[in-house]
Amino acid sequence: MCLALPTEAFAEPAAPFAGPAAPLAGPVRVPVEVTATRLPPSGGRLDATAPARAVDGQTLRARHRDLTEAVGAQEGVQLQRVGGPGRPAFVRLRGGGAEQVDVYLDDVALQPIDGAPVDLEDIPLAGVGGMEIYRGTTPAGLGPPAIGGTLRLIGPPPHKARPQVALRGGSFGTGQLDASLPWGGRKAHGSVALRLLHTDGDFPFDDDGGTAFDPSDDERRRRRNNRAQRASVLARQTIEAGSWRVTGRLLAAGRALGVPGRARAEALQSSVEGARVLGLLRAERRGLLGRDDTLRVDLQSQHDRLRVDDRAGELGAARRLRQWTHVFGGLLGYGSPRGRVGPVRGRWTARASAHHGVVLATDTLGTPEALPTAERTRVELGLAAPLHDGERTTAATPSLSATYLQSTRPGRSGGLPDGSSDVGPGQRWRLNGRLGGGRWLTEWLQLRGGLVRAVRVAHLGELYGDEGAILGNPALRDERAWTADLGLRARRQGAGWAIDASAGGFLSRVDDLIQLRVVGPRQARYVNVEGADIGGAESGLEARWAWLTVSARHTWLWTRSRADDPAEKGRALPSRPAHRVQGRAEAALPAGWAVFGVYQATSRFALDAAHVATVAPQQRVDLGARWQTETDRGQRWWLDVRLDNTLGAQLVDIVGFPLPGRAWTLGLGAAL
Amino acid sequence: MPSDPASPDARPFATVRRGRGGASWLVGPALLLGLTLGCTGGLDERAEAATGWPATAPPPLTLPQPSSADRGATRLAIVGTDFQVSGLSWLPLATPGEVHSGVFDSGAAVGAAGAALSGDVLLARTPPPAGGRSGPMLLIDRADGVLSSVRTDGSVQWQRSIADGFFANVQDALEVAPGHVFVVRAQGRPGGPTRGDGLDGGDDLLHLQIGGDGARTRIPLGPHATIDDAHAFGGRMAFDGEGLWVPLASYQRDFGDVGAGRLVRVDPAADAVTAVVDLPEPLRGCVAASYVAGAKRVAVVCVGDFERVADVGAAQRESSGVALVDPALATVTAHASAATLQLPGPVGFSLVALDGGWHPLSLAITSLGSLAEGTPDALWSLTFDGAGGGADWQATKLDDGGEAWTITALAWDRARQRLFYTRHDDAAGDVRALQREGDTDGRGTWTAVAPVVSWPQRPRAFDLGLF
Repeated sequence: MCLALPTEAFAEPAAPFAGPAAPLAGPVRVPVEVTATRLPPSGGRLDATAPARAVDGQTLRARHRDLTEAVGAQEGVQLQRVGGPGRPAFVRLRGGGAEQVDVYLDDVALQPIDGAPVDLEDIPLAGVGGMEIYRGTTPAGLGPPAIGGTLRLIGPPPHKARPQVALRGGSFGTGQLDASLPWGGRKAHGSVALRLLHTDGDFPFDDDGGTAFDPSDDERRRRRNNRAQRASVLARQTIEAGSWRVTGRLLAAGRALGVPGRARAEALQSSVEGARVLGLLRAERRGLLGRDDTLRVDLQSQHDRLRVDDRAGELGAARRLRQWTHVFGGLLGYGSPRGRVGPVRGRWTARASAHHGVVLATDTLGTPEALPTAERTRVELGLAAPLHDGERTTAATPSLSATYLQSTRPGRSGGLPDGSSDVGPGQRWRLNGRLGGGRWLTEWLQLRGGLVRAVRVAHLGELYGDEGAILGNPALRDERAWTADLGLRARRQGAGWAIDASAGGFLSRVDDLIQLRVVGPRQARYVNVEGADIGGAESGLEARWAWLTVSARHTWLWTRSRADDPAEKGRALPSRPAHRVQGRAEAALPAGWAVFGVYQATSRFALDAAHVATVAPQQRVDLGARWQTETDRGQRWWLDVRLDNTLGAQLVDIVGFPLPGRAWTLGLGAAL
Repeated sequence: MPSDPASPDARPFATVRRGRGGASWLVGPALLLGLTLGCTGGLDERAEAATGWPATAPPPLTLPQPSSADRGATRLAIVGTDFQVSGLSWLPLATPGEVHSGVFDSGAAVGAAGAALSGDVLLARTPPPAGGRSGPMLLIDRADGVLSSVRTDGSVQWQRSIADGFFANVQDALEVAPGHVFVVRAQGRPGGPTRGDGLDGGDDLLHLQIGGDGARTRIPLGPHATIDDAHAFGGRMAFDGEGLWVPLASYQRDFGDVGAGRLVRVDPAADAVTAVVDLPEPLRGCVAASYVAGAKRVAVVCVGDFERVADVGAAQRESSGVALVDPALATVTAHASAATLQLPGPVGFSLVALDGGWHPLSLAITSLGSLAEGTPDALWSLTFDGAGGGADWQATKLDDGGEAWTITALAWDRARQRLFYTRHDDAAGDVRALQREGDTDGRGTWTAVAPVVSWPQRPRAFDLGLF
């Protein structure tokens, strides 16, 4: 099949109401042969000048079993997860902390007042129609730039989805159910996605009993108290009437986890339970003042509950803690009609949001005690103007955001040393901004770059948290960062082949970096260290040729601490391998079969800031096969089998805890 | 589940770890039951008898007598840590400037189960007389539950797991005679023992015989807790040449309460508790003991009824303090709370007897600062004159810690009358020393000695020991 398409097809359409995109495309409409080897768009839809990786929903579900796995497979990403599947997983970008990454679901910030990391395991993959990872920034129009970057999760496209169900079972007592059910027509439609997960997590590992120099007691034994149970539901309902569209969204997620801690002396009783409910009501209108302007109004309510039980003190908390977080807020956004001033075309978007959040906690150490309540009010005003020339070969994306924050915490019973009842950062304004630019050098090669100024105010847990083993610090200063990046993106396709490649480098300087510092035996506290310099390069490749699909990602990270402490100064930040490589090859075979292999490798990294203990380079190979068939009525059935860590390598996570060895998964699914 | 002996988790321990090929998992509990029934006795109805594993009991322990050949300690061993990783350094007491930094550290081996040392490592106590015997340095990895005997060149003489897969919170170890090491395990296996072998259980004093068949005997301390549903939570012990004195903090299993202070005497030769000394109110949470040879007293410090470790309060200060025990009579002869001593915070976890010098009963202790309130630790010398009233105690501040969690360990070089202590916050010198000289009011004067950086550009000193 050969269709004449504009090369603008390379640029992704703007997501409605989230701020217009600044699509960049070649200046000339040329015929492009499109065959079955066409590759889905890989750049950011909201901001083509930003370093980004987009993955469409079909690819997500075909390659990955959950969102965590999908996010972790991209360049520039490092998962912050301790232990194996089902454990809380947070995304880190470009060597920063998980707190430096903003997560948006349907363009709704999941941490609107707090900035606390979002557990990716709370979000069912079946409810995600695509994702975009913006490294080192936030796309114009979505929110203020984040120091680490942004994960944007998009809902499945309406009208096109089918009911789907997938059931998987595997090693270590693992079972997972994913299902999605769309309904409705063009005027009223909705969907619900479900994920249920259970894993015993009792994978074997080589235990030296702590006696590394006495092999006589070495044994292979199983991890204990590592179970995980999760349930999450993501429901959407949209009603369209005239120029109005009203959408309701509900995300509900619950988890119950054992917390084993160290491998050699596991915590056998400690556990964490949590629940999250997010409700959103959105009204959008097109054509308010002009032909294609947009108005968006969001009302958001979010409730989180956390229960930590370490009554035996195995993890150092020695307490049972219950914590509730309630957030209410709203957003008003406006996207202007498209216009032009001389040769410059584009539009501007403005948004204003306000949120208020309360954190309540109860500690049941001895007699129940209500811990202080922390409150935060956040107001944000943002302005962005994606601009381009008439030929769409050159684009610029300036954005500016001003954020007002007021954080308070009533004093403890007994009073604070200075007698105050309101400590912490109090009231403050912060400015964030980005200037991005891009130019198509040829019809298939794009050059892009940007400069970002981002400030992050400590989240409430960092300021006022008191989880027994982890203490907040009301005196924390804001993290401030400058980041510059430059990159290339190439995209070509021909008869039976297609290739999409990107490469870029960045340099970031972060001041007053907030880090969790262990200050005593089983006691940690958030502190500011002077800062860090972070640089690196990220590259990605997607290629298809006939029956073969190949993807590859490489991340090179260079970090240098600027801490005053001589034990840290000048050293690379801990738990950050300098190199991460991921490669995937899939071969399509006759009769609906496909086989694939995934290779992952990380270079040596230090477990501690002083580089006393380092983890040797690690490699992992996953192999799998998939069979798929489609009925006459368009129903699709599939069966897949995977053998993770086929070679049985002994792997550890970023804090040195063991990871599962060889593990199999058998999956059965259908799209009806 | 972990508490179920029939679980798949439990089986490998009984059949693989101990290398007892044909034994079923039932053998352990059966042996424990048999040995327990055959060795009943003790101080009161609640007391359990010591149980041995394996069935062959270790040979009788003969305590060495002090002799002129005993050279005493020659080295100050230093554990540096940032609470994530740790390392061992040492310096000769005769020439403290010659620091041997980082001879053994967490990076010595990193495997699937973790690094060679965790971030929670202590040095074992060494017994009197003469402040200890020179020999390999004995490390206690509290998080992993491992003892490591390390030579001066960093090579490992032997290692022994003493927790067996649960957090035993090992607090102390003391080699009372060559090859006989007593280990305090403060916490028990949650849910109780699952197999009943010598390392199972916890909340006890473990008698390890190093070498030979590796026999070990378990002396339960749990029955001596002063409140119900509590760990006895043994602390850092003292040795008077004949008996081990173990302070008990008596923490409720969910840490919701702290019992009254108690000290138990263990006869190392008999592997049995032979005396129980209840400390007077308001002392609670007793964590460390030290033998004052000159006065023939056992000193004990109690950190009080803590609410949160990082957030000390007035109640904790009131219930923390110091007590003196006559080991011959097993009675308390004097005590004082931190409030009585007019210390700014609760008495801390560290205690050494300033023996062999200017005053027959002189101690070094710390007071705790607060992370939450920004108050520092402090170092104090404490002398006692008289019969036991509050006025008989004299507390003299020797140094401020700069902030909380900085003065975490003390060591007393008896031969040179030098007090070493840690300053975790000070990059200029994380091991400091005070030289005691003169005889002012019977307490001497203290002069600061040049501080030492124990492990340049690496984590700073946390614990000290004499070897």
